[in-house]
Amino acid sequence: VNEQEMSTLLARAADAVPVDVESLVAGGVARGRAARRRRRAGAGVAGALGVAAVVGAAVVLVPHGGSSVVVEPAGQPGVAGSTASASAGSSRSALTKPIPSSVLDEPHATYPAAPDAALTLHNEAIHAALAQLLPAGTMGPILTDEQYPARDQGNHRAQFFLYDGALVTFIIDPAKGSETCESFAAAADPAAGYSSCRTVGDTQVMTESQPRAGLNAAMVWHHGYEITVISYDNAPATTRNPALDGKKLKTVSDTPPLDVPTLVAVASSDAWFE
Amino acid sequence: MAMRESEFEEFARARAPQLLRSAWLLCGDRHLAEDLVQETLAKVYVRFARLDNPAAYAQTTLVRTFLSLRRRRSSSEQPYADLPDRAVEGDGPELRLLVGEALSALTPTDRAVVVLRYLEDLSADEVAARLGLSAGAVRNRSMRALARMRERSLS
Repeated sequence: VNEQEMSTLLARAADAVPVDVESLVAGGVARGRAARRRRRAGAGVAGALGVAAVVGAAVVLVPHGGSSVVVEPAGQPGVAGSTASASAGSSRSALTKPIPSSVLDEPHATYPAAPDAALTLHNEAIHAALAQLLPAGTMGPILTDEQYPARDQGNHRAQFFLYDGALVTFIIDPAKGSETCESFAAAADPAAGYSSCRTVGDTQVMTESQPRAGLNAAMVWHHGYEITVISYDNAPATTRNPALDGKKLKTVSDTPPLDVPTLVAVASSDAWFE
Repeated sequence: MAMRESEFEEFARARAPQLLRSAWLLCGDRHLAEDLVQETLAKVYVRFARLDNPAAYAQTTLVRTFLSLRRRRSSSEQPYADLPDRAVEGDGPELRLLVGEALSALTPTDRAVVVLRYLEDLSADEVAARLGLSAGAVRNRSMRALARMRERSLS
């Protein structure tokens, strides 16, 4: 077998592989939409920092063996000043109550194409509300590092903070018709830790738990908004360095401090709306 | 520049068959290959509006994603040591099996070199640029891979 014959052999063998073009394209589009959404949820809000910044930590919600970007921080920022210790309260226990499977199995209910509630809270007020909603723990202020730019404009909110020393991301954006809960779920592999798209009352929920990536996440479609809350097991990076892709951030706990039910409960809260 | 999704879909439909062929030769498994192609298309989707040559970007992304996944999943995986000698006949499943076995005797990087050189018909310089290798290394890997495939399976 010479080089020319090898080319012919490879082509003959590969040509015989059945191709389902539409399935490949649909899967690529769905994953691409999900990736774009992730980037908006993370680095997207960083604006000029570009997509590679993606919150400087493990990129989230990467479907099926996707490329979770994990970078070594140039330095450990430590826990930012503890300003808000969440205290236990009755609302918390209700929020973190496990969602009955019978409810999760309901078929998809109505879902507004446009916001049907006003996003009345701004970032500081949202942060204070989060302190009430989250379980007791050490909660830092909204990060101001350039890698973690808060956003507080129009119907967009984004903030990053430390909870028990680990990074948490909270984002609200108006829902986009092309990026539905179903489309995310269709692109995600349950074996990789993604849930299906579930309906809970007037809310749609998709969750992710990826021990290897060190994160728990909840994405909730509610009142025409997408609310994303992500809890990592690691501290944030302090410098952006995409070249460090493949190296792992230093973890600060065995698992993300906030579990999936808690994230779902927080993301599903009506506290942000009027 | 905003991306028109219909343009991406048109591109993806045109390129998907070739990407799957390459992916199948790289992965040796149809389902893994389909997953690799979808992951590749997703990466192209995100950058599509800014790409001058999306076809080349897709091919490079496919190979690099394959190599990246292989590094993560099995850094200790070794190529097959021994494969049966069989003659190559026909274009059916037997041929696919033989070629797949021959390729599985190679390291992931050598497999990528073979696919880019002999399926995609790229020059050693082009392969080197896409894989981050020197042209000399590509030539050496090509020769070594061909010899191994000849010895092990394809006669």
